Amino acid sequence: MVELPMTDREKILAALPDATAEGLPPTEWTGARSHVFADVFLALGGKIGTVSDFSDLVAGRSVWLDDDARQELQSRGIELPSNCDSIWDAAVGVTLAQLLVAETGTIAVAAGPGHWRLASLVPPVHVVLARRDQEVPSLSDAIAALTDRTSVFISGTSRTADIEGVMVRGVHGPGEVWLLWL
Amino acid sequence: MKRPKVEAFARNLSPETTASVRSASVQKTKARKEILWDDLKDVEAARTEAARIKDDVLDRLKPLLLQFETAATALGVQVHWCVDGESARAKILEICRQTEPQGGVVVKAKSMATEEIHLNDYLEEHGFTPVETDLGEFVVQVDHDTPSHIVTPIIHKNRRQIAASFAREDLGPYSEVPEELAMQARLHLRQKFESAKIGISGVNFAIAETGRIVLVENEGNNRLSTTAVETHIAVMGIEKLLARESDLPLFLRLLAGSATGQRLTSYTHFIAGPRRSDEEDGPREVHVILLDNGRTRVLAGKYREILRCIRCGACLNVCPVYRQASGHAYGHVYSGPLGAVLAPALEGIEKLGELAKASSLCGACEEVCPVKIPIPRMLLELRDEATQAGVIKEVIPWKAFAAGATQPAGWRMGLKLLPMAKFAPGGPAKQGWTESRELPEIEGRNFRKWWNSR
Amino acid sequence: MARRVRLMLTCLCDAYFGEVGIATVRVLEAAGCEVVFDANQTCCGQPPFNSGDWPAARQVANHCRQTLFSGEQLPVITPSGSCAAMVREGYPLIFADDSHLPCFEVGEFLVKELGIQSWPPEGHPAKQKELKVAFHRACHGRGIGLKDEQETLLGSIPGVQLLPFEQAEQCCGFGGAFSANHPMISAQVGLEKIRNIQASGAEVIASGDMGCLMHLRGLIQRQNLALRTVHYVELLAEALGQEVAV
Repeated sequence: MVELPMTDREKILAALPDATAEGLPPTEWTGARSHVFADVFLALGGKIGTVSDFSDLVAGRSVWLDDDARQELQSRGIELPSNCDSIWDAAVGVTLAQLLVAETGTIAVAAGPGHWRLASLVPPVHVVLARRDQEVPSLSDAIAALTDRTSVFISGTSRTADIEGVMVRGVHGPGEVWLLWL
Repeated sequence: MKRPKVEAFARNLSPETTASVRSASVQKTKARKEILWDDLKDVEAARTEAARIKDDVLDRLKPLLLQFETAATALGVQVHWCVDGESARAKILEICRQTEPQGGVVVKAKSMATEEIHLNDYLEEHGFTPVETDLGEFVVQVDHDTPSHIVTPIIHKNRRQIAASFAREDLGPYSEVPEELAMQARLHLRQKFESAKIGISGVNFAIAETGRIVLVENEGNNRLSTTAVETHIAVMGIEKLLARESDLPLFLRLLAGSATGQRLTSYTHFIAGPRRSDEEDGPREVHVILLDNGRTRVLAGKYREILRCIRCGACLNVCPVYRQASGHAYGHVYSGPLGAVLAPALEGIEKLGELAKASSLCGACEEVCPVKIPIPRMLLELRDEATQAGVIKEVIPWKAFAAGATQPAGWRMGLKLLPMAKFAPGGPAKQGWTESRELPEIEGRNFRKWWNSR
Repeated sequence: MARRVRLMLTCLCDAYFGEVGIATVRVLEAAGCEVVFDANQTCCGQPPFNSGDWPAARQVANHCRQTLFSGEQLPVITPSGSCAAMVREGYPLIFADDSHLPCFEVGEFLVKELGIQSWPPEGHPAKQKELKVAFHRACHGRGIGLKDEQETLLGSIPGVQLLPFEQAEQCCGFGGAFSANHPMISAQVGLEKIRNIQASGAEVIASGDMGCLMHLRGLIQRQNLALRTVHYVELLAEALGQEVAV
């Protein structure tokens, strides 16, 4: 009988000792200090306004809006251009926030129907519409609430310090992030 | 006498490069301390808990990897197990060819695991063009260089050197202004992101419970490389696992804090599989390569704690040897204190055991490690192992020393002869010492004489 | 009632730093201890251990255990954090038996065991001397959990000013055999420390480890700098005022 050689999977599993994944003790961590979301977000280079600032922000610029962001603005009677032909040509990407995290000044944006992952990434300006009741105190809260879908936790603008430690914003992702309160 | 590799490299390093490495390391060490002590309620407790969690994962790696495989597969991820670099490269190529049978551009996010298996050269030899998109890695690539730090790849370069490289590659008009250089890279790489069908990344954390993988970055190139493509391939060492989503906050804070002095990096990306039928964009295929490449062997041995490592680079930043010699001195993608243990552990003592000597055993690495890896203890054990294997040859005759130190009368006699030492012929130890130091001299009284005269 | 303690001299002290041993005895006696000195002692075994010759290290360490840690069980005090670290942290690695031997660095013993928080201890007149000191905290203190015991004692001496300096927590670059097998790196790390200390305005570098002192002193002498290097226990002894006739 010809014996088949072990697959890589079999080799790796054979090299690992047997154990159980049951009975892991809960993670105990005193955590991090809480902050005020707006303070941390501003310190990260974010900008804050209200939904009434929206029209000025996008005036004369090509935009790409997620569907629910569009609906939210339309419901307030705000005039909106249609999305430009390609998201790669948009100057401003507009999304809703799913959650805001006070501990780290983070905006959580999740994938889903009518949401483009690239909307918060490709255009050089990202505008986020959020309600104050979307704020949660800790990173733990936010992660637990959004386990279901692919998501990104955005903590400030795109940045790098690769060249001599000098900080540069907007390397690949947006260099400008606006939070507009609804 | 052949010098140890790290020393030989350091001797040839330009003062300019040492200055660059040193100032970046000092700044990052300071930033780490500030953010962790400002924000975490109990830094020591956090480190202890993180070390315990990682040890738990390592103890249960088999069932947790299987759990991850099941959960990730349910999300639509294709999980591949690769026993070594050769197997991983072949599997990655196979996946690339499924998407682009004729070859093509592959956008790459920074991944030490892909450097470990020398993926880029292999892809190039087989009709693909890997393009590094992290700014530092991009510079490394155009210079045909290698990264000198696992988090900040070009701390050994200054703006003049980068400007020269960019001008040479025709990326734009010559400029030494960091903002302008970064924008030249952005424009150049944008086209690649838009057109590439394949993106390759590493993995910072994989969650067994849900099958999600987590990637952290500041630039946005990682998100672009894994989102604006059709096929995303994520390469991870099998030890990069966490059991539960609830373990993430502690590790995300420790990683960002220890690596770059941030609360969180600009983007923390949670990937729950490929694009779903009700989603607008995202890759249609997500593949995770579970890479062993020696890790199961390390797990079974004396150096298993090194597998707790979350690749923050804090140990590199604080190490006096790293600061003087730079990462390239170690001749391996993993350098500094991490590399001095992991490199010989993965590749064998015969090849890299001498790296264990490139340390003054100061212990600063263990002090800053977010998962409390006992690097000095492991360096000592490596030295023992390497000495017994004949890989390390000592400059000082310890057998003779031990003979003298176990015979009190002989010892006391030897001490009387010490002043003659400066006339003794120079062996390698004496030569090493006197290169830049005066020999020690007896200053003041002799203790034993003083004691006996009381 | 005087507390009996054994002195572990250390090989470096035996060889080059006799004054440190003398100062240690005077300091311990001023703190109310009776010091026992076993003439057969040699070395704790740290040099071969750090280099990876563990068989040689075991030989030397066994001799040390027999000489200092057998017979009457007394706390063993040493003017070297690295030797204390060798006995407490290194011996369990090279010996299968679970020995936890009572070996203490002198400042650690004074502060933690005897509860002395300032120097000179009560009842001793202090000899004041204005001195600007940079304290180099030796790395092996990390291994035995030394925090600021040495600085506490040193800084409390009337007239002593402990000056902060840049990158104070960095290694001096000695590292034992490292100083000989990576000589350029070792020297550069030490010279950086010396430059930082010079910039602080200190006249004296004090440390608790004779390896560090030997290395820094060697660099300072080669560079012809006007910086004094001293073991901190010598400054503690100087503050006691009396000189012992030889």
